[in-house]
Amino acid sequence: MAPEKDEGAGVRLRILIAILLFPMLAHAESSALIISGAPGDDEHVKKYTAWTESTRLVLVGEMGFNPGRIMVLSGEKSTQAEIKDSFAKLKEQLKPADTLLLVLIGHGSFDGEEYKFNNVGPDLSGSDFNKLLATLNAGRIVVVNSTSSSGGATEAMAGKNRMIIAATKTGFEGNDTVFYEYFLNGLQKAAADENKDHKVSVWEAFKFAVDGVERFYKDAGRIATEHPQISDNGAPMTGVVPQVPVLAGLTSLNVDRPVAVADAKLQVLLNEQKEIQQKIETLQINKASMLIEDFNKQIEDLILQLALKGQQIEELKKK
Amino acid sequence: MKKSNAILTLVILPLVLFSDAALGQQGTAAEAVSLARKGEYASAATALERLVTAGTVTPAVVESLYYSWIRKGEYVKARDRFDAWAKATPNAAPIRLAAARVDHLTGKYADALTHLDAVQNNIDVGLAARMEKAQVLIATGKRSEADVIYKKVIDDYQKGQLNRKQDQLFIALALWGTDNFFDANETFKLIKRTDPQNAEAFVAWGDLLAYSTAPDLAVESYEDALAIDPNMPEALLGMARNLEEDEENSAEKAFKRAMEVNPNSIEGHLLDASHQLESEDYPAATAAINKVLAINPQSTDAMGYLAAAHYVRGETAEFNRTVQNVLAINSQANGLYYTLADSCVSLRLYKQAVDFAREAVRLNPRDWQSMSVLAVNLLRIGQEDEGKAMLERVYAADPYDRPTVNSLRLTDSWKDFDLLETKHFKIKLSKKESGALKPYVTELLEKAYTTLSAKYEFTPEGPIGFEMYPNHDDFAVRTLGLPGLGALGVCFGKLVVMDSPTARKPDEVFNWGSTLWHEFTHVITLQMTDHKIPRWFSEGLSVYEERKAYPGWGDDMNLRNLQAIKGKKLLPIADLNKGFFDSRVLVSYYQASLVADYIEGKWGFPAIRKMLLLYKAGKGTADVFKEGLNISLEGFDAEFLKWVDAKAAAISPEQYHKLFVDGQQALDDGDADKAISSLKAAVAMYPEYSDDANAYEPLILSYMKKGDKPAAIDALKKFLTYSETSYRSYTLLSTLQEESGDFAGAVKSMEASMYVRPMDLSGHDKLGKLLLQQKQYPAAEREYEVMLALNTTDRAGAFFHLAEAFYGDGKKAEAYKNVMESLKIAPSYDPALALLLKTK
Repeated sequence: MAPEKDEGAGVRLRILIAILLFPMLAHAESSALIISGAPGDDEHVKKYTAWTESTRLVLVGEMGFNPGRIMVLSGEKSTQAEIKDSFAKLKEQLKPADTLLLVLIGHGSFDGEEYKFNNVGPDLSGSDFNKLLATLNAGRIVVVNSTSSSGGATEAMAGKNRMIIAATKTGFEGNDTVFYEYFLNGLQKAAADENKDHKVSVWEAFKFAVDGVERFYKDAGRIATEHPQISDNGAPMTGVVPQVPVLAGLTSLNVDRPVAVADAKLQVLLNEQKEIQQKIETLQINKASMLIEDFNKQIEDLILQLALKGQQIEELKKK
Repeated sequence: MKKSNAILTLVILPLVLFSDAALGQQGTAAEAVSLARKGEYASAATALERLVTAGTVTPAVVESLYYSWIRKGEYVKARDRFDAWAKATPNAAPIRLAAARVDHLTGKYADALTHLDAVQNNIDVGLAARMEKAQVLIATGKRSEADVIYKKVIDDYQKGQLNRKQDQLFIALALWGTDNFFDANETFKLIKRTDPQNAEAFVAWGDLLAYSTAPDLAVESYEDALAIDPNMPEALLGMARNLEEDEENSAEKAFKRAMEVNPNSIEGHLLDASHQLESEDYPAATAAINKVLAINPQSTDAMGYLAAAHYVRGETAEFNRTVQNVLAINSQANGLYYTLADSCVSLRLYKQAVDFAREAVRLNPRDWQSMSVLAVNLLRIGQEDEGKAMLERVYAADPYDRPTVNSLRLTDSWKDFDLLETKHFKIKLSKKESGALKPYVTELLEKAYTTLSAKYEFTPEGPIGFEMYPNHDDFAVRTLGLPGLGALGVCFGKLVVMDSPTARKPDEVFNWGSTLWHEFTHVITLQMTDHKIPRWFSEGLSVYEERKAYPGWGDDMNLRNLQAIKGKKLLPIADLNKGFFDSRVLVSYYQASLVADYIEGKWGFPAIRKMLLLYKAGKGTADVFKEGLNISLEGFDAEFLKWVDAKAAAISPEQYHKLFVDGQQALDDGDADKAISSLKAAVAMYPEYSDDANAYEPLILSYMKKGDKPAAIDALKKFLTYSETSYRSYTLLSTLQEESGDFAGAVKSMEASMYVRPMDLSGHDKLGKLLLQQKQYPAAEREYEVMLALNTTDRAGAFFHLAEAFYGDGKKAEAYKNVMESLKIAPSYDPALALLLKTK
């Protein structure tokens, strides 16, 4: 009875598709809040406007953000009320698996005890931002504070599942910063994608920016007045270190959308490829606790497997 | 760097001041003494001579008269008058002391000792007499007896027996004479507080500070002396000696002023002699020496310079005779050998300097100056272990000697350097930079060696040392013992030392490739002539060879050089050496290189070789030109200057500037055609001008605005024929060439840029990609290895491209290894994964 057989194959296909789709339904989203504070003079207006707009464009164009999930508060809109209102919206929007990217652009200040972000009207302190962040139910929070004196806010904002990047080491580094220029450069065309996985991790972006800042001051023959730092998952602030911080190393600024294809055989290969990639990732995380010879042997084997898998995938695609 | 041993040459004694009550004609004597203190020597001498003749022979009056005559150079008068007075009043101790001092000054050492022995226990002048005697004993080879005197002085001081203000200077000098440098310095500080009008003490202190090679502090002390007596020749000459490295106009002024005050100044003529020797003007050096010998026929200092002049001219018999004459006066004349060593250093005869310094130290194992010279020059000729050991010995005795301290610190820092060897070189590169610089440095050094040793038909003695310092002060210390050198590189014959490209601030960019080539040329010309080549010719050939090595390298007719030509400021060949010791130095480099160009153009390169061999044979410049080129120096000057004038005749800087401004304005206004017309005319008129506000750069922009890439490329190439530091232009040219399909040209342009900014990652990346594209795999390997050494953030990419280069080069195993490194960083790197499978 031919129609019954066709029906069975169709159900299996739909189930397969559902299974394939399920991860998508359970997939984490990313939201961004870009706050550009009171600029001061024309020169800063121009710079901060460019940074704000470039951030929005790169998040949408290259990082895969949904434009509807990017909020921008700049200039006159960067009041306390508007900021709090945005956090309220984020509270509604963000799910436990989601990631929030908070970018602060503008001037900061530090009185020896407390950092203040120079928004329009009464300034918000580092503690104020911490309280606002605590209201959110996001899986991971990435804060990129590009302002002067931003290092003075890191301790207040640091915490579990949070990655706090500051342009300066302490609140006392009060000069204008160039950090964000290089941070943005790293996101554009994935220039910071050190491991070529077509994604830019928080750590990769931070490293790229730090390198850019160091070269800027060296080429100009100036003493560096900013030393970017990162706090990973509540750990103390650090610059670029050999041991990659776990959370920052694993968190991608790209919105992660799994690849799904119609061809079942191809999907299997893709899944196998993903599996090998995950094994490699696990091995890399465990590297420090292994003998180097063992690590090298295992990773080389896995890489070879990955290469062969990639070859199979390409051959299948050609058919 | 010149040092003077003030202990040997010091003829200064303090005034022994008595209360006014002891002076006969109080007011007149005090006034006359005051005039002398203030430097009004002529008026003071008239008044003081009258007083002494009338019987006023107090120490203050007599010493002031002595100073007034001596500081005006009236040695004969002083000697005759004091001798006569001494005979007439043999018990007048101050007179006997003054007579002794004049006798010492004029070389009558036995007579000096007779006077000094007669008064050495005199209560007023005894101490001064004993210290003067110590100096005479040293001058006549009886150092151990002098030491006894110094030690007694120190002993008496420690027992509280020398507690007058006027004793302090002698105590300081005795401490210095027994190598108690710290205590001597402390005593001078005390004198400054307790006797602030003691100009002689400030001069002596300056001499001590100069001895410890602290010229800046020495100058301050001499200035303190001049604040009291603005005409004091000893202080002015102290300034002249110690300002010469930094502020040559002030040094020249101070020297001239000193000689105006005292045209017969022995110190002044000795300084002049040393300068003339350094600039290889031996007749002038001899003339200055003879002026000293006319005053003091026994002057071993003057004879030392005479010996040096004979030595460098290969006049062996005269040299030996002069040395014997010195040793007959002073068998312990370490000063002679110090002078010979020092002169050899300034004439770049480093091995000979080592030999002479050794002899100085053998004669006086406490001659720390000579030991320092020995140590530094051992380091220069590659004998590093012995040099370091010598430095330690000097430091143990005199921890204040700056060159010693600096050199020891430098040798300690060598642990942070990688030591590399190539076929002909031993190379030191800072560990921080060696990964990036090594491939370029080693390649260029061997290329220079192969090219120039073939061209000059000369194989230099090796291995040749090469050192690059990322800290400019370290380079300066390696060269001079002190920071503050303006040069980029120095050659010591078998050792080349230079700044690393990272040693300078971003606005002081220089071309390290041309600097290396320049210095290596010195290796050839110095060794080929046994270091007898005159400075001007050595520098001239080095700049000339820079121009031959690479387009754009070497000096051109910039505005300063053009103005010197048009202002008829070029020097005759006979004087060209002098141009390297004053503000004319940069023009002199250029002029000397044009001389080489002219000789090559008219007589051919073999003539240059022939000239070098004639210098090696010991010929003077006049003979070298005569025998090598069949022309007199005057004849050469006339032809050469005519040729140079013709090169510059059609150039008008004012017209050039107008064309530039018009062109720039047109470009700003958007009229590219008009801009091109003006700027092309400027470039055609003055093609060698490539500095600030040059017409090339806006011309290139104008062409690019018009979209005329071929013209922009031509203009860039022409610009880079005269500019060696415009990194931006090299990279722009490379980009335009690449866009035009001239990949080989694009590679060459980027390679040229590496001699300007070898640490620029983006430059290496660009070059690496071009080389891969051109299948120049070994060179591509170099680029990516450099990128890894420079810690590129894109290590995965660098390893991958390096693997690609190895793969293209047929080195599968290396390719596999490097692509695997790439994939360990970036496991999902698709191109690397694909390459991995090819290499497996």
